[in-house]
Amino acid sequence: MASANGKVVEEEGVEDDVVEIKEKPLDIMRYMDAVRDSSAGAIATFSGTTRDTFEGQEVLELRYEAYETMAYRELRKICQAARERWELKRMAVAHRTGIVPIGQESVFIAVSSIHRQDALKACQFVIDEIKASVPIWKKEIYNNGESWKQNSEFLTRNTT
Amino acid sequence: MELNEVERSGEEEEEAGGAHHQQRRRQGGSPSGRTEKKQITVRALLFAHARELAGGVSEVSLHIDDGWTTAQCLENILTRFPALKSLASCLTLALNDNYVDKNAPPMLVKDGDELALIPPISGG
Repeated sequence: MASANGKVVEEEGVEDDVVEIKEKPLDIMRYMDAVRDSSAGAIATFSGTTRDTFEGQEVLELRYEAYETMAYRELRKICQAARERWELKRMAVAHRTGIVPIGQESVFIAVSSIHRQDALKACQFVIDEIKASVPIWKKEIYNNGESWKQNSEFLTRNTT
Repeated sequence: MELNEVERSGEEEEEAGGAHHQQRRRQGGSPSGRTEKKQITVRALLFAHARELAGGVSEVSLHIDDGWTTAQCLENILTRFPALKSLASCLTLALNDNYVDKNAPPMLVKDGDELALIPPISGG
């Protein structure tokens, strides 16, 4: 399949997985519907929600930013890797950028499969991989300062 | 709130190369003995904490010699934005949307490449 700029987009087995990075509230139901499949017996989902406390400090706000071209590419690689490991029907992965108010979803994953174990395991794999490799950053804003967070999953994978 | 300044570096590359500049002369130069280094342009992107330490600069054009490695490009950027040195040890590089493996042999940059400075990520 050719993309708009004429380059061939590698999509063997990916079956139109939905991958989105948007500076808007995530439309959870739309992703659920995107993975719905009449042959699937299960849809497993994961929502990453922003919390109001970090190590005792009150978090007022979270801001996310993404290296979009690379983040899309890494997300698609993760979907492909999940498909190589489990029997999956459809996948949807969405990450929000910009300001994400406390308690709202910053990331949402939905996976459908015939048998639930595949969807459940793939869902966990996807969030673990996102934390280890997708170039998206989160900044926590406190009363008295702010801090760029670092995922231990990334640090572990990138320690030489 | 965050700035998206683009800094052009046309006039700076001659000094920034320093010792590396001289070490990377081409083999088999012109008959006169003078080397003719092809100049290339690499677009460097700074994200998150790296951008903030660089005073809000999110993109830097590097006008450098063909044959530079990604590590040399980073060193060039650190020279121009010394505040980034505090982050340097935990920066990962990505070249054209692919992570540069710190343990692999040095990777050469090409004209038109996009090099990203990736502080430790925190998505998901």
